Amino acid sequence: MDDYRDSPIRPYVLTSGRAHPSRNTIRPETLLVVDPDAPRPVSASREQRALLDMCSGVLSLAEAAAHLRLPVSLVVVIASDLVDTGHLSIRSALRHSLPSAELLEKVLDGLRKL
Amino acid sequence: MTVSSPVSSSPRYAGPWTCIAGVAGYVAVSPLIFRELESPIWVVVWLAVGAIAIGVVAAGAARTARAGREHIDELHRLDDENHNLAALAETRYIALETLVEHQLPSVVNGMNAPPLPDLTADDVSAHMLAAAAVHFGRLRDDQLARQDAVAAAVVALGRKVQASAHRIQEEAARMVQAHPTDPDVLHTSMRIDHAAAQQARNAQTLAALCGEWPGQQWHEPLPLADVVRGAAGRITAYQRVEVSGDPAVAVSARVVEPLIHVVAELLANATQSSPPTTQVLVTLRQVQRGAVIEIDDGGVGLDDKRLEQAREIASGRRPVGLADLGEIPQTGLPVVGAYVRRHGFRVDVTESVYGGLRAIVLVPTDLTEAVAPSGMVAAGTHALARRQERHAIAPAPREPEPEPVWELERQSGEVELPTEPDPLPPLVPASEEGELPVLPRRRSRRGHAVPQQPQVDWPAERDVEEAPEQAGQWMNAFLSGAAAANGELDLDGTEQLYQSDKHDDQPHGAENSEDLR
Repeated sequence: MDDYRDSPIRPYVLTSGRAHPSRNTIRPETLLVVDPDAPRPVSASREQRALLDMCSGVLSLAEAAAHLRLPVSLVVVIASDLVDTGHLSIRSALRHSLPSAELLEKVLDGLRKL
Repeated sequence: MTVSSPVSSSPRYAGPWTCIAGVAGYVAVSPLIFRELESPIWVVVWLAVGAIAIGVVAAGAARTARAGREHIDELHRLDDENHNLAALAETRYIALETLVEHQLPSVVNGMNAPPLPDLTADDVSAHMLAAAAVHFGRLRDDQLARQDAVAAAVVALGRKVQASAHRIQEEAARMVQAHPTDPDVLHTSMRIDHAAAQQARNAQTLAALCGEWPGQQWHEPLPLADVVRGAAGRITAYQRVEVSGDPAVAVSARVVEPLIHVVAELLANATQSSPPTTQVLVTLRQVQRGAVIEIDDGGVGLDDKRLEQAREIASGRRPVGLADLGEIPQTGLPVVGAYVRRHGFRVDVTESVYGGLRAIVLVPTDLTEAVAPSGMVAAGTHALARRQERHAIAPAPREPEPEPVWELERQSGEVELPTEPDPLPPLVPASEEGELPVLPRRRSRRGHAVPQQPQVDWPAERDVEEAPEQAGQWMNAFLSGAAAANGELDLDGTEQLYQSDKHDDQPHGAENSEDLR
């Protein structure tokens, strides 16, 4: 873990010290998508705006966190807030449509050949 | 002339009186002599006696006159001597006064001794005073050397403490990275981070008061609003800070840390001097001469005298060193003043319209830079950027990486390449594509993607990073495409995407893959 980089803005400032998300349904692999109908929050912080901009497509929370260079658990808090306010929605249907074992095996074989 | 000599007065005046008495007797006796004595001999004798008497009197008078002159001369001489003595006494008084009233206090206070007065009238005094000055000078040099040593030691200790505080922050961040899904860990990390941030600030204040200790170094400009948020993170009551305004202006990298520290100290003052239930309002604005940060607290303010003192100190006009802090050190404004003197900000403290104090910081134009006007992602992610090589404020680095398909077209030469990356590439360039021929290769922002560079053979101007929304758009397009083709959403896309993350040997990618397992 040599990727630590100091930032002038500390994580607790971004969420006013909140570490627990308002909802516990968001996981790192949760796919987020911005609600195109909801207007942008007026008083959004820079990170909130950035997250919304990123999720104009579908993006997993972990990826968003990597792009934001913020801890995953912190982005969960930020994302939860945005989901609460209706600006962001969770695209979780994917969890229930797992690929077949056959396909996964193919992928595994393919990977081994690499 | 008030000098008198009572001892010598009677003998000195006896002669004249005797002469006068003799002459008076002679004059009184003369008629009798001239009437009674017919003999001319006696007349002649008497006249001779008279002539002798006159001669004696004249001689006496001449001698008296001479004695009188000598006496006057003597008086003059004594008078001069007296003058000289008075002047000498005065000179020595001045010398003594200089020594006690001016030089000693200045030596005691560690300041330069005032120049010696002109003592040409008295060699002895001048010599003594010069000797004293030499001693004082030596004393002062010793004192200064000792002060320097103390200051250097304090700076070194402050650095150590600050470095250890930052180490604590780093460990806290690593802890969160190691437990990316645990909010309790995040909570603990935040508390540790917050405590360490305050420790770091205090250490930095101490060091900054003693010498040129710049503290942390940032290599990128920081938007003004982020400066305030960074500063808020260093005070206890950061939740009471309310920022309004987000002008499209950033602070040059070299003054980011000083400005954060200045604002942190002003915020700390504001939160400490106002009731805990009140907010501290921070207003940001851009003005002709630069950028302005106004900090208003809802306290009771200061009386005129103390306000004037605060202004003197905060504006840097009155330097306050470690030794001047006193028993209950108020380090906030002194360190603000120190940074103001070093970096050319302007700080003023006035009465706030809210009743408390208003601290105003002006960052001159030459210490600011423009933020990409549209802000949004560019500004947002730049604010969080930690990589040194990146230029946070310039809009270019945030340009979305074009779609791989587009890339293929570019490489085959079918599409005319723009000389610079298109600032607004099509957001969903692949939405028409049913599948993606090449996985997007995300370049690491942490500078670890260099090995990938040759394989991909990007054109030179493609030294930009993929924008997250681009990846998101691609993902969206992929899912939509997959859904359209298969009638259902398939996780393949996600899986492949994460595999691509793995390719992308950045730690976050690895972390993502782990999380997804």
